[in-house]
Amino acid sequence: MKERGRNSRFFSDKRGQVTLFVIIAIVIVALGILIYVFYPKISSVFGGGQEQNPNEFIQNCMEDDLADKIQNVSVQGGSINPEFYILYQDEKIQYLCYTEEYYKTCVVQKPLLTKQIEKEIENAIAPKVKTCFNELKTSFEERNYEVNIIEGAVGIALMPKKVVSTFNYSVTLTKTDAKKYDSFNVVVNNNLYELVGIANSIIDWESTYGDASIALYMDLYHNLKIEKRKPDYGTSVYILTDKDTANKFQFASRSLVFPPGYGTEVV
Amino acid sequence: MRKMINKRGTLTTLNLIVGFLLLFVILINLLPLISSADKTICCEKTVKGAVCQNTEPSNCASGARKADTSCEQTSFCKMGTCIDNKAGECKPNTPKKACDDIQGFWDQRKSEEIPQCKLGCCFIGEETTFVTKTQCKTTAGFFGVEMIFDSSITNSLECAASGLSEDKGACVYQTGDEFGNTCRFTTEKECRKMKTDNSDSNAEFFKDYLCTADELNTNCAKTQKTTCKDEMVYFTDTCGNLANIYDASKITDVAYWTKIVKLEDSCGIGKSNANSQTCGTCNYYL
Repeated sequence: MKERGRNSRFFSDKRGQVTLFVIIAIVIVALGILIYVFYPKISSVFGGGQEQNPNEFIQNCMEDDLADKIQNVSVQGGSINPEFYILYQDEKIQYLCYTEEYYKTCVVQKPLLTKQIEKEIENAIAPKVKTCFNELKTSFEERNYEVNIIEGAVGIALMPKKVVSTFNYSVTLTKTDAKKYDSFNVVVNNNLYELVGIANSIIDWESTYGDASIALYMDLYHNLKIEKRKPDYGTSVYILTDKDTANKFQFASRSLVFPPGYGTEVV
Repeated sequence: MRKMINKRGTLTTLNLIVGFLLLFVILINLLPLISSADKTICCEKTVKGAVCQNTEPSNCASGARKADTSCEQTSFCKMGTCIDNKAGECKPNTPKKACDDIQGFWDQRKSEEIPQCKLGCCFIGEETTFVTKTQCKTTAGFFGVEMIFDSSITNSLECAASGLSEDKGACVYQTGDEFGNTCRFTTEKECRKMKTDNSDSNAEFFKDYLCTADELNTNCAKTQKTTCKDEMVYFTDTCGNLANIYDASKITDVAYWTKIVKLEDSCGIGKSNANSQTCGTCNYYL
């Protein structure tokens, strides 16, 4: 009987322990979830943890928008809002070289393409730049920083294998001591520089001799796929694709066009 | 009867004259229509948005400049080269209007005639691009690497095929004195760098060649002198360049002084050659 009583206490103790362990486990899991969801706020409340650097903040805030704008510009012949274009597969594709005459080589429509594309991206991201710096201010103020931002110039540079944006904003963060950041860079990996270089070369060819040979370019650049589509009589849409990165640049040209039926006369 | 004939004849002549007059009047009225259908003018901007087109007057955008001649004859649509002085980019076959629109500097000369538009091969790491020297400088500056620009490469095909390897060979260049061509045994990369630093040197790289090769026509000649490098004994030429591994049987062998001989094809392979008076291939482990 005594034995039985001891056993029964043992079992009731054991059940109590299990319940306790289950409760502790639930609390641990709940804490884990809370920390995961609210980590930045918790870390700012307790004043500890790894604080996000303003450069990182701007990089995270800007990179998607920058990548989107690069993509827009790339599929539309270097323009965010093409003025003179052909509609091809629901895309407005800017003419970079054009003549409406027969037997004539085309006239360059968008010279200094690199500069124009840099300017287009620069204008397109300007609103987002302002938003991101405002968010940066709010975010650091929530962490009890005094934030002073002086707006500066925004620049875009197409470089080999990357697009670099530079924001010459001056940001001063003050808590116990002041820290100043004078320039911010956001880099997106993209082959636009290389693709624009090849597009330029094709335009030079079209404006000098007429119809460019895409086979020659593909022989030369093994990582490049070039398609030439003819959406209407006389217009060529060039689609340049980097095989490694799938980055694309497309543009339209109309050069050295012969009248319909030319060369088919029976003598 | 004769009177009647005369009267009819007069009538016919009169009819003919009136007919011709009518036809003349109709033709005169139609002439402007016919000529205007064929007529093209130079239009600065068309209604579709194309810049500098020879087109019918009705296609010209309102407010755009136009001239009753071909675009090549106008001041605003004349063809030339558009230059971005800051970045160094140049675009040939560009009408003045298109260049002005983006604040470029327009030059009526062809791009080949403008020194700053001269293209060459720019080496940035493993990449090559066919650009102007200014563009090359900007890109090299951004990546913090030394600019290597070869202006003797005159087309993008040759540039794409060019490399900047660590392959060794003879770098032949001009010294500017009476000795003519001289040579340095070095890498392709170093040779291109030498050319960038001194474009007058006309440095040219010959992969796998030694400076003493007869066909390179340099002032570097065979010697019997030797030097030690990487625990091997090498011949040197009169310019102080390394040649192949010392081999007493090949002091005057022209082929041995022309191209690089691989280590595995050199003398005494498989032996230690310790204290050898005839072979510079040393292997301490044997």
